[in-house]
This record gives sequence, structure tokens and C-alpha cells, in this order.
Amino acid sequence: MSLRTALFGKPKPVKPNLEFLLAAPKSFAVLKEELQLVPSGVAGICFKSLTSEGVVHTDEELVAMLKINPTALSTDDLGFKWVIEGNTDPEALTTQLHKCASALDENGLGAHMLCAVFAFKPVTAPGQGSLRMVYLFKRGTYYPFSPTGAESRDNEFELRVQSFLGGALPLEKDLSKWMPLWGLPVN
Amino acid sequence: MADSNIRPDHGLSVRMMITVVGLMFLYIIIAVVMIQLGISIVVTSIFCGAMLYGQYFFSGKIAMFSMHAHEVTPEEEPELHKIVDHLCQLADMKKPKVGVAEMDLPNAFATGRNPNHAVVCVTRGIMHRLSSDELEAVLAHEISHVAHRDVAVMTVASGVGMLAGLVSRMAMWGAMLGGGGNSNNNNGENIVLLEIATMLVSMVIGFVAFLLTMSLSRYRELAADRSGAILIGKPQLLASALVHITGDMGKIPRTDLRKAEGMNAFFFAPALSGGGASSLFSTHPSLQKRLDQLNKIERELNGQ
Repeated sequence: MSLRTALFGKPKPVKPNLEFLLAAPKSFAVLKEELQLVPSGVAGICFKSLTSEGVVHTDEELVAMLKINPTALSTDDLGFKWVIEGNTDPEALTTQLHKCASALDENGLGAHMLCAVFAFKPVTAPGQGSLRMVYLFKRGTYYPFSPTGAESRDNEFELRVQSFLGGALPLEKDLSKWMPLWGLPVN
Repeated sequence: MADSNIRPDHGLSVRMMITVVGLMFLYIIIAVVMIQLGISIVVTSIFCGAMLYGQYFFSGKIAMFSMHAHEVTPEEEPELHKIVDHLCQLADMKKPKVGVAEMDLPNAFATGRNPNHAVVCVTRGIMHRLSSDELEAVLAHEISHVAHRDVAVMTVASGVGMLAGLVSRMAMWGAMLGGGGNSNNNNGENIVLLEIATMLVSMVIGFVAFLLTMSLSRYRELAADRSGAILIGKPQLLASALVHITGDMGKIPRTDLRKAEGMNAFFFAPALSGGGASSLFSTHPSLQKRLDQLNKIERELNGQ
């Protein structure tokens, strides 16, 4: 924390780091080989529709801004917006997500972009664990999130995922930042 | 370590040797200082010997007492005994006594001067927080402490700091009494100077002994992690247990990212980097260091 931040409590908006979002496909091969997990074909971005100038965008404006299908946009119980994209080609899905993230950033929503989420499913049902890889825009890091119920998660499995992905992705080293997203709409 | 099939850790043996030799050296310095102070050799030797032996002999009882722990029978805690029985069978070693500390803090420890008098102890808090698989991993770690026999070394090692503290306290009283008294002659002043010097020297000794003990302690934790993880063959269970029981900040959180973002007004504080002095003074290696090692073992066991 800088002196200015400490004195005035008004930190500068953190620019979202989009650089490593495109690195997500690097994890696909490792996850398939080691944990028999494949992309489910669904990924999403979570943000708040509030610009740095305090302007709230309507859903129609957001759809037009991001050039997405109106059904791709939803609002969750906590008031956060989700853009959910689907594509059977995971590489193309990543590119789609990156394009959407760039559009959000260019339209002044950069400071309010929370995370991108990639969903994975077992190759053969009912294989081990459901997995989401969460990308934190502010930190440019990924972490595994494996929900097992309404408010429970499988830490052992998440740590296993971490042990395999260290070389493939920039992982979040601070475990206290591995925050859950209970009931997230990316499945 | 022929009495169990937990492999001896050579790095650990070497470090234990270095620490023991270093501590013996420190004990000798303390004894010399005491003799310099005019305390007779016999008294000094008896004093040092008694301190060491007392610490060694009662180590188990002292640790159990300070943790408010009590021994439990198989009837009282069948689950706990079942896990320990199973682990001792795996490790082919004599079963230690089993204790429980009635406190909510999640923790576990092994104590006792040798494997015949060993006690492995868990707190009520850790039993509530961990699954039985994770509890087994934690007990495998504690049983490795017993098999490595490092309980005895740590006990002896921690005694030196205490002794050095005692000597410096004695020297201080000496200096204060001497300085306050009627000491106009040169001899009196010399004694005061000598006592102040003794005090400083024993403070330095105490500090060095403390650092040595802490570094050995951190190393033996890693060694017990490794042996424990290999014993049950599932390093990630121990990793998960560690993550579950290590303080709030080290824990994988349960607070939703979106709620946390609301509280932080959308800005993450920059992560403070660890390391530096704090890691030099701690008895346990950082959670990250332990998890990194367990990750490495996991990859090794998976043949990577």
C-alpha cells in the first residue's frame, strides 16, 4: 500500500491483466492427462456493470457493447453480471472470452472486472471432481475451485490440481486468495 | 532407527549432529562462564547435568501438562486408537501412547524422551476440523517425529536457551548487587565489568542457541512431513490437513470472492511478501514451503 493510499484511502483503479487469460489452453492437456478432466465447453466472465465514472449500463447497452447474444448475459444473486459463452472448441472459447474481456476494459469497466471462469468435467462420468479454473483479472493468476455442494469445496482436489498445473499456468500462490464462488453459473 | 521401517533421513541426521555438537559447545561455554564467576566446578557440573537430565526425563510430562493433555484409552477414543494402530503397523514400530488435549485450537504434537515413552497427542479442535483421512496424515507426521527420535534432541536443544537465560539473570543480579555495594577498590570494579561481560556473552549464547534450535525445528518438521506422507502414500492428504489447520490467512477461504470484492471496494491490497526475519524465528516452516515439498513428493509418487 502506498503512502497516498494509506493517507487518503483512495487507491488507484487496478488495470485488469488480460495477458494470461489467453494462457488457459496450456492447462487443458495437463488436466486431461493427469486428472482426466476436459473443458465442459462453457466459460464466463464476472464483473459489475459500473464504470469508473459511476455510470451503470443497462443490459441492452452491455449486449451491444460486447456484441454478444442477449441470452449470454445474466445477473446473479449478489448483483454481479456474468457473460457466459459456450463453444465446443476450447481454444476458440478462450479467444471469445478474451475478446469480451478486452471490450469491457476498453469501455471503462476494467476496474470492475472480477474474474474469468473455465469449467471442466470428467472425461467419463462420474469421474473425480468438478473443477473450475478461476482467473483473477486484478492479479493475473489462476486458482482451482472445486465445489462439492452449496457451500463446500474439495480442498484436497484443489491442491492436487495445483501440484500439476504449476508449470503450465501462473497460479495464485497466496492460498488466502483462492476464494470460492458459491453457486456460480459457469457449469 | 532399526526399530521402524521409516527410512532414516540423512539430512536430518547431519543437522541433528551439528546442532548437538553446537549445543554441547555452548554448554561448555556456559559452564566455563559459571566457573569464571567463582562457582565451583562441582556445583556447575551438577547444575548443568541436572538441568539436562530433568528436561530430558520429564519432557513428555512437561509438554502434556503445558498443553492440558491427558492420555486416552482405546475405549475412550476408539477411532483415534484405530488410526494409530494402523499407522504403527504400516511403520512396523512400537505403538506410542495416545493423548488428547481438550482445546479448540487445531494442533497435534509428539513428545516423550524415546520411542518407548512416546506420546502422540491431538487437540479436540483438530479432531473436529479434519476428516479421518486427514487426521491419519497428521498422525503419520507425528509418528515420524517419534521414529526420527528428534523429540529428545529438541528437548535438549531448547534447554540451552533456558540455561543461558538463567546465567545472564544471575550475572545481572551479581552486577547490580556489586555495583550498588561499597566498591571503591579496583578489584570490585573489575568484578562488575566481568559480570556485565558475562551477562552480554550469555545473552549472545542464548540468542545463538535459540536460532539453532529454531532452524533444526523447521527442518525436522519438513522431514516428518516427508516421512509421514510417504508412509501413507498420499502427500495431498497431509497438504489438505495442513491447509485446514493453519491459521486463517493460510487457509483456503470460505468467503465468496464476490462478497470479499464488495468489502475491499474492488481492490486487492498488494500481497505482503513473507520471508526475512520472521522465517528465521519460527519453529515451523511456512505453509507454502511445506505444501511445495508435499507437491514434489506427490509428483515423485506419480512417477513424474
